[in-house]
Amino acid sequence: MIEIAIATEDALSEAVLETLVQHSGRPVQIAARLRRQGFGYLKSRMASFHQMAQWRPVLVLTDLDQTHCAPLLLRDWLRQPPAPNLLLRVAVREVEAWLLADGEAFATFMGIDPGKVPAQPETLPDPKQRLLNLVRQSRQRDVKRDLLPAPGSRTIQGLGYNEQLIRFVRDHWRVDCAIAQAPSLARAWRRLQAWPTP
Amino acid sequence: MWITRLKLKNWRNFKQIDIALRDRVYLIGPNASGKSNLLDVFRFLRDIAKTSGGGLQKAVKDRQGMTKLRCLQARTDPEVAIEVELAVAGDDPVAEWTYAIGFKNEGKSPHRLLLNYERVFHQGESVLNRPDEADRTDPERLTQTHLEQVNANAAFRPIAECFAGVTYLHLVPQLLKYGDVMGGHRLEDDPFGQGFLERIAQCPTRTREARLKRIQTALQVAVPQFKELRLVKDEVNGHPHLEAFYEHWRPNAGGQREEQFSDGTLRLLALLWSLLDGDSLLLLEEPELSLNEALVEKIPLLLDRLQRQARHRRQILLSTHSEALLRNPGIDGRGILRLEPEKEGTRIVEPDEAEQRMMETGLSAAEVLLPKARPARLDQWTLFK
Repeated sequence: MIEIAIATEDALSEAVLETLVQHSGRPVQIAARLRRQGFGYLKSRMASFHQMAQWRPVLVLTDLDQTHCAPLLLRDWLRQPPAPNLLLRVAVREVEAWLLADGEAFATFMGIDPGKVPAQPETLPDPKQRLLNLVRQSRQRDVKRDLLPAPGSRTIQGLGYNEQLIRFVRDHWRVDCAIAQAPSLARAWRRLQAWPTP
Repeated sequence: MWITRLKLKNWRNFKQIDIALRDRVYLIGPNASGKSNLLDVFRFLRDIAKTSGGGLQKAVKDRQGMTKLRCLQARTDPEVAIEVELAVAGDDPVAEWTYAIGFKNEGKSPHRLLLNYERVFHQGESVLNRPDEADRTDPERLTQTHLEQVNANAAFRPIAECFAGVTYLHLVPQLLKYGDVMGGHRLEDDPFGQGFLERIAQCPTRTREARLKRIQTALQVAVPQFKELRLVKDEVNGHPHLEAFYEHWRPNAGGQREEQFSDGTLRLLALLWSLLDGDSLLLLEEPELSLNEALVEKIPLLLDRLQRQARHRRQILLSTHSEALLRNPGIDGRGILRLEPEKEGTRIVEPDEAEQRMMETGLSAAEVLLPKARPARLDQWTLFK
């Protein structure tokens, strides 16, 4: 078993990486989970990750958000050629797009019409907003109440947003279906098949 | 019922405030800004309204009299005044009742504590307006509120019941663990949880079992290795005790008693129990104490989930200093009240338009509001000589 560290910007991304690693078929074990709210932490710790990757492989996942394209973000974040066992992947635009990419599972989980889930969710400018709008059509009261803001509240999400989506990722989301609709996920998935090098 | 609005005059460190309250209220602010004093208003109303041993005189006396109660900044105005609006619980509560009292020391011998007024409105109609004719002929009557008298509060009983049902929780684990050793003085209504076990024991068996079972399920997730929770009676003195059993124990090993529980386990247990118990206003003082940050982060969702299953949605006011507790971007900003100490007493501010808009972009209350609750000039703190 190769022990690795994963570094993410929120609990949902962490659950996604865990699932990817688990299903990758590689003899890898997650020995450390590095996470603080937001990508600022990840970016500020890139130098440490470089060093760490000398002895323990580090897998980092961040959202592209409004950066123009992934190569640009990579160049900005890495500055130096990455250590061989430092793998930085970018979800276009947000990890929510990867979730929507398994449209069938998502529709079943939310109790909505599968036709409503957009194909190619990575082309969406704001996948999280689209996800929330889909939830608004859901027939499942508890799921809705967790994911959506309380009536009249001006927050964008509900109190149980992460909890519900993490449950979806762990129990229902199928990587092999999702890669067909999400190119950045497919690339990350391909890289993981041969990572880390011993 | 929910308390939807609170007005105070000269109450401890609040010279004058008027705030709206939602079903979840988070109070933030630096140390000594008055968070506990604000929670104490509701305990005060409870102390007046409770059916045994209540009343205005006692409620004031228990707080060491008017001199301690009255705002230091009050100067010329001797009156302390409290006004609350109450609404039937629901998504869009509309005020049904208003209860208002003003009271002061009479300022001459025999220095009684007297009501200046006591007023009740129901849907805008006056139900009670004191002093009335009888009060004027017999001023001694003004030493008591009608709220505290069953005979006199029939027309507004729901208010009295709502106040009397207020619960306050600030469990101090050491008081519970070493209660027997330290011997028995206990404050009325047991705010610090010394009698927590008796409270559990007094609950009807079926309800108790059901609640303990739910708490057990929650603890199994939160406390590593935790397996089972039971309430047992001491064979010698009959006192109730909690016993916990952990994974990997020998099958016949005895349980661990509450004095061996960790502080965090006890506080979490008390928090969960209080959420399942009762349907009136619940006051929580720093529920984050002794708890792992990852657990604290879940408190807002926990409150929401447990309340969802409850028969009556309970209004909850909690004070906190915790960044983790306010980290969930789903927390409704309108429920966060920030206490800001100023020369003329503490102000209470709701998030303003700019702060609300910041939270609309997905920033959490911890990011937007907590920095403002820090004491000013703290960066110089370590330089004190």
